[in-house]
Amino acid sequence: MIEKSCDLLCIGGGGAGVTAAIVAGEKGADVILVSKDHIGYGNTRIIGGIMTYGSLDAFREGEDLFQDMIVGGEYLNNQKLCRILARDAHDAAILLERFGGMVNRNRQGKISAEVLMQPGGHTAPRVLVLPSTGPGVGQGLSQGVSRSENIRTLEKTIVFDLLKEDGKVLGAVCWQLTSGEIIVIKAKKTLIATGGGGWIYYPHTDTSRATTGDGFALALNAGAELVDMEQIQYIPFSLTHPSGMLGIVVGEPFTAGPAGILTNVHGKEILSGVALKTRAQVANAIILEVEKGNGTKHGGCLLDLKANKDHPQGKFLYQSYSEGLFKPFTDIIRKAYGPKEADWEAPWDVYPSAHYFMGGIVINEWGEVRGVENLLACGEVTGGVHGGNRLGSVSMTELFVFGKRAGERAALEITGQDAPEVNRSLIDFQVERLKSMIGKKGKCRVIQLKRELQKAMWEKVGPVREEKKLKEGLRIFSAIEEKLPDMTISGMNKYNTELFDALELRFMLSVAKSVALSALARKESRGSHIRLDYPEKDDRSWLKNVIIKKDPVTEISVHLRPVELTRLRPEMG
Amino acid sequence: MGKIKVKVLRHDPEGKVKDKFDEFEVSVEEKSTVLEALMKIYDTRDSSLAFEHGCRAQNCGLCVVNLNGHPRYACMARITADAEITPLKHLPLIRDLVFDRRPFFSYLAKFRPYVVREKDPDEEPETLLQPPEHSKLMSCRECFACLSSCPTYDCQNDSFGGPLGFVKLAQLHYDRRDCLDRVSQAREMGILNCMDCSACTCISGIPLNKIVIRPFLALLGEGSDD
Ligand SMILES: Cc1cc2nc3c(=O)[nH]c(=O)nc-3n(C[C@H](O)[C@H](O)[C@H](O)COP(=O)(O)OP(=O)(O)OC[C@H]3O[C@@H](n4cnc5c(N)ncnc54)[C@H](O)[C@@H]3O)c2cc1C
Repeated sequence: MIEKSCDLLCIGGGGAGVTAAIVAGEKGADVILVSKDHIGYGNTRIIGGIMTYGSLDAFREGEDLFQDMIVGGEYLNNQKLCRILARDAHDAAILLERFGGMVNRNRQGKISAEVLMQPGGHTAPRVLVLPSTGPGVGQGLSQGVSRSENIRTLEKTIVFDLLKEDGKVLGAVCWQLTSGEIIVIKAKKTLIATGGGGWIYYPHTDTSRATTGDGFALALNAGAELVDMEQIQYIPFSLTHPSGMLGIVVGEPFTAGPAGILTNVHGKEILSGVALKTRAQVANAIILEVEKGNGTKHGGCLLDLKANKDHPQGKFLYQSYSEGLFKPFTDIIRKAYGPKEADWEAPWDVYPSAHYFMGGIVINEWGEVRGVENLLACGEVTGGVHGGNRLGSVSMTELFVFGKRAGERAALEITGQDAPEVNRSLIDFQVERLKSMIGKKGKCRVIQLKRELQKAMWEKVGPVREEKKLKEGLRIFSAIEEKLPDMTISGMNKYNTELFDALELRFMLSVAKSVALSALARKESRGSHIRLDYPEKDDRSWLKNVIIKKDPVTEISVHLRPVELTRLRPEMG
Repeated sequence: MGKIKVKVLRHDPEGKVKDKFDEFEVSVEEKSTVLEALMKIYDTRDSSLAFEHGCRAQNCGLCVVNLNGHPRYACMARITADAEITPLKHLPLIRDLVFDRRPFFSYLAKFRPYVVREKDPDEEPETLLQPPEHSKLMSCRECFACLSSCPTYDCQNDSFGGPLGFVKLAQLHYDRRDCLDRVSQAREMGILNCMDCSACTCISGIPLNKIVIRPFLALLGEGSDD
């Protein structure tokens, strides 16, 4: 066992965790940055490459972006957080570039109207393209980390649990995959930036295998609240086959362009004006059409883009798919479907796949976690910014804007504080819990339980929900949980992935239950949450956030809290 | 397609057994990928098999392996009967197909692998021109396949940084914000070894010879920049 201490422990090597680490380091904090994959990875590493910039006119303070976020999020958003994001949106591009990344500009090297684009749900062009997509952002972040003298990194190191005493978080216990070493980190402040939980739907997802939702579970267990966990974004245009590529994203509503049409298997158009719709609107149209029995043999709908090729504006979109920024999607379409589909001559078979968690840890404007001392969070693991639907490209902006705020806040409070005293018995207890899993003998294989959970998530708690299915899902999760003590886990020292899987499985179970319970609680259809038994949106009763908390008796409890409509409220007829 | 046999090279860091091939029978479909096969083996047969993967869409570069001797992204490469899957060459192995990235990055750290500016910009976002080579190079997957394809690279030998090292320097060389002499660094990293060689390849399509190796050599007065 190794022990370390620091001012700030950042958990997560994606855009949010790295930004917080660099900013806190610049303010003098001594930071340890831990990631269970590598630094600069997570979903950040695989982005399509768009980032909200906002309007060119700095005096408008992003009011229009703010409105689009709330309307797109169907009024579930935390408006205070949205206000900050919309106001500070430019900072995201600036920070990314300070670290080492770069955004796209015009021929004169300036950010101008001609380089801004407009993904679905945005009412104006305000989005920058990141020319080298995810790898460009990831390497920009790593540059920032290697420049900093105040950051120590631990890669391939998974946080097992937080150290917590008297309502205060004092660090974490980790396990390093590559060495097999247990590492205890004592910290004045701890920040969770572990990203979303898309992998819990594997294979019906386009997310990184690192996104098993660990941070939701860590925070919940430490006493934090999770908000609107039922709101999971399904990206509408993903592959339905072949099996190895199932769920991979190939577009966003704007991909439909001015002339593309979305039809069912019989060729009937199912939604018009697709390009300007939100992801939730487009995904829901496909999901409900397939549910009616009008899907293709692969269970999808058809996106026919051909007419764009002769359309004055559509042509540009076709070009960006054939040779520009979106060519990676075309390469994938060609591999999966063939040359005709890649050239927009034949329609694509598409179905939504799990892409983003809108819900998450409840934070304030500084990324401080409500109800838990010394704990902060930022990035996809937090809830509130996106409500019931995230507009494409806003996530990248959120990582930098809130990563910076959380990093600054953590650094500010650290100065003058003594290193935390952690009770020996607390450390020993956690370390023993971890050790007891290594080399365990039992009848169940970890990976099979993990796959059972993923299957149940998609089938029972996936895009199409109803009370009966959700309850079945919860029963399956309980059954899996009962088998945990009976798992076989390898005792191998280095690169023991079975142990790694087992650690993730515990987190995934908490996340699965949180999502299912929230979905059961929201008795309406709103945002990306579709209930067949409650198909309508109900503003009179349901302008409420669903809150999940740890409960000493029932383990998890569900609460409803009216949304604070501080600035914008829906018109009610 | 039915059932096929694939061979995977096993490496045990605890050193109990020497590296050897294990053969597995897996059922596959027409377009099944190498990653699918590896995951199937892991899921149904042997959860001690070590391999990395991330996004399944050739973005993260983590799943790179040698397939019948050639570096490929496992997530996109089709699996075929009698395929031989081995780890990348010339790198320190951790287990089976997984190699250690850290030694390379610790070595790179000596070269200050980040934008070093003369002075901060007057206003931000600044006016900035990005050469096309820069955006191409920043799309590097850092997958290490180029090091496996290089006949000279050896992770034990610090006098030669290999193609990935040169890519990392070239990213900064083409970055207009950076003020360090990355060309001299390339010499220090051993690029003169590349004068009569163009064996390295990038499996995500970066023309290494054209935008990295030859331009550096030309700036060092060695060979033509074509
Ligand atoms: C295919 C795809 C394309 C996308 N494209 C765009 C886009 O173009 N624009 C946009 O705005 N958004 C996009 N998104 C969304 C965006 O990528 C994510 O929301 C964002 O990157 C999340 O950043 P993050 O830092 O919060 O988490 P991530 O980048 O996911 O990082 C999480 C980190 O936490 C680590 N971690 C997790 N659990 C633990 C643990 N227990 N212990 C230690 N470390 C842990 C992981 O290893 C990882 O390093 C896209 C998403 C996907 C899936």
